[in-house]
Amino acid sequence: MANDLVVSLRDISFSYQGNPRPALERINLDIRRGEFVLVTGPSGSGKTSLARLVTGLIPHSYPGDLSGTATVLGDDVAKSNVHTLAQKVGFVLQNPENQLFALTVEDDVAFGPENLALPREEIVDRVDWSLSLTGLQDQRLRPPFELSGGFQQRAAIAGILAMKPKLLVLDEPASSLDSVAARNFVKFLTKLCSELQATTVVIEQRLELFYALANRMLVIKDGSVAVDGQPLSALDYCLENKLQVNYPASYLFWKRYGGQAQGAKDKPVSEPSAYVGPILARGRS
Amino acid sequence: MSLAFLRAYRFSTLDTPIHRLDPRTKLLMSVTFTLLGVTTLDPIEILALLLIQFVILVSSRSLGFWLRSLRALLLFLVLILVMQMITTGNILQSVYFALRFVVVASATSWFFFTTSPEDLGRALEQVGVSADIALSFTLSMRFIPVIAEEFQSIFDAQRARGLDVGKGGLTERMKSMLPILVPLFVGVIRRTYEIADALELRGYGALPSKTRWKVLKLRRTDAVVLLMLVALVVISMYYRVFLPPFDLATLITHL
Amino acid sequence: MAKIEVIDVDFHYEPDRQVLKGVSLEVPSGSSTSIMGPNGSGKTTLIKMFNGLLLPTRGKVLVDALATSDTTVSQLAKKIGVIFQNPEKSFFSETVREEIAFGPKNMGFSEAETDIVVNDVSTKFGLKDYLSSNPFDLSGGEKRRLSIASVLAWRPEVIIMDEPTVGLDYQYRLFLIDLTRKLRNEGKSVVMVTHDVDFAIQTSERSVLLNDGSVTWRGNLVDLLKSPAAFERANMSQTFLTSLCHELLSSGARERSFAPVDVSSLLGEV
Repeated sequence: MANDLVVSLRDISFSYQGNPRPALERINLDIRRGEFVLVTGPSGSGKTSLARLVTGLIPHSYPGDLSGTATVLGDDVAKSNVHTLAQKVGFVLQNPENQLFALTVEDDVAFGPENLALPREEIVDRVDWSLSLTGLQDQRLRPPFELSGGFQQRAAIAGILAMKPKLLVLDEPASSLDSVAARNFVKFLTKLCSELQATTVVIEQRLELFYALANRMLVIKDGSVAVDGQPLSALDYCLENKLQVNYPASYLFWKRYGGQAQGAKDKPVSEPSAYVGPILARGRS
Repeated sequence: MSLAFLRAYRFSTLDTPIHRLDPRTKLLMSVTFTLLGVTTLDPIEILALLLIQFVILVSSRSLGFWLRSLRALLLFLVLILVMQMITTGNILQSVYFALRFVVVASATSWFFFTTSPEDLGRALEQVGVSADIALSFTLSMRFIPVIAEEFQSIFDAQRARGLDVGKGGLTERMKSMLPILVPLFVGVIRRTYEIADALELRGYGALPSKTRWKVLKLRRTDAVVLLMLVALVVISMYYRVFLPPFDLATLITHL
Repeated sequence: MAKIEVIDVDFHYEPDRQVLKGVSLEVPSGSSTSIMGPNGSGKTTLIKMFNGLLLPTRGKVLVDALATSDTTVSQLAKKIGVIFQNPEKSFFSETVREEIAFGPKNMGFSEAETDIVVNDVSTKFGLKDYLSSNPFDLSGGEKRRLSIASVLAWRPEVIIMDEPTVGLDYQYRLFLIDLTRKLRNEGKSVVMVTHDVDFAIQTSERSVLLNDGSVTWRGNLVDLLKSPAAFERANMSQTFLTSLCHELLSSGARERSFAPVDVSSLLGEV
């Protein structure tokens, strides 16, 4: 059972140096192997701070007041360092541009393994594997800044995958993508997760894209976990307590008309036509 | 303001014998030609160097590119010519001086045309430059276009708020650049912190030494070219020390 | 009141890079318009045509019947306020007050006039208490409100926002939807450039769809909701909400009840 725990946070509180307001407040959280956790909440609520903690950036690169214990894949975060944790936790930052260092995509993917002093043949294998997993083989010789938003995103992920992390954390991966690119990204991520079998944490505002994919949803508010549960029940709780999250349209309609719509008794349907009857009936048009 | 000038420095993905040379070889060639060119006013040497550059330019198919950059430098060339004429009063000398400049410009022109930035970075690394410095070099090249774009966005945004940069005397104009330079600077600093985080997250600096997955290897052609380069330097030294200085006027009278 | 007319405009960044192809459209006074399209369709370039930052390589852009090529950006900016993406990247002042005052001062407002507008707009956007604070110390939402306040301070007649919802939370979205309605009620024209279709249909009466530099569709909200093909042609995907509205309209719902505000109430804001 203990091996199953990827992240274990006990009474974690943290304030950035020079900032009296706590970024994280009394967080207790367990994440188990294989989970797909969706993390959401208002801007500035602590989502990114949580991600930084799990990778060791807090407290090692962002000094401050940390209390409580954080264990990630067997390492105590406070006693470890970013380098050690980086070999187990892959963190894709919100802005992929700043995570692409090299002048070609394949050199960038090789960057992580090079730093880990892996043997050359191993690096070549990992680069090929990573590029094929992210569908970037045709782009491998191109400079990162020439890639479109969606591909840049994938290149950043490819670079992280090459380090073979056991925990993958993505910070708002779809924020700069347009609707078509975002949908493609969700398909890509779905496929990736099933092939990789890594534990995944996605921080996102655009819930409608991810809530069907996740098996767990956290809502962070004012530095603490306000809601933790299966996405639908989490959304129910948010609605009842008037929390400000980006309620997916399909969810809202299901809440209001689910009982009367066809096939939408237990969970939302992606087919809007199911709700047409009930809406017209209620004269809400 | 257009970013077109950046494209001029992008190397081209052609496959010519020059492109295929090891970047270190090319670096050495470029530096040697430049040094030889800058330290002589002898017309034979200068013409010889120009001829060599020409051969390289043609075989790397960068002649067109070079001619275009030369056109941009034309004004500069004329300036040099005129200044030399004024100071020395000797037409021939001034022409040689200007030609010397062309040698240097050529030597750098084909180099950047035939060497990709990543090869250049790798060359520096393998020549012995520290990993940190080589990375700084690569990162700078990687982010220059990005920063240039950011400059443009900030410039546009402030103009859209009524900023006028063209007005007034020098001090006024410089003050009006503040709303552009301050945010740019802040943005660059902020980006640096993010990049530093990202580097650590990829294990940079975790171990004292890292693997290099692509290693530059000198090939036979490189060896031949390097030998030719050594020969050139030797001949040049011999020529400078032992043979009398060459005078076009004397040659004409002798014929 | 300002009216913008784009007449058969082409734009090339370089001879071989054409970003706008024969674009024609209108922004009437006192309207709310959304310009939608995938990334790379030319939306941001089009915005820069409105205030003269870029001039067409062919065709004309008229603002109040005056061609943008016959005037300057600073003159046009007086009527047309643009809030670009990531506006916080343009902050440069030491205080919020200075930041807001920047635009009006450039537009020629006197000290007294500037004071009035700064106080007015900072109250409206909840920044009154932060006037002496450093813009960089504000929270994310406050920074966004500051950037909007800085542009509304000189009271332009047309307000254009480039992808205002990207990367922001629900609360800010609601704030923007509300703001658009308020501005419309004041008689201003609002232009939202966005790829967020749900946001567009809650704020705009008219839409223009761009794809690959050309206008592929234009019309009012109800027509848009009735035309799924318009989305496909613009390389955009329909959302749950737009599909639902389409079905409702096809099944006999009254067209009159599909103003942007009705779409919002259909969703039922929390």
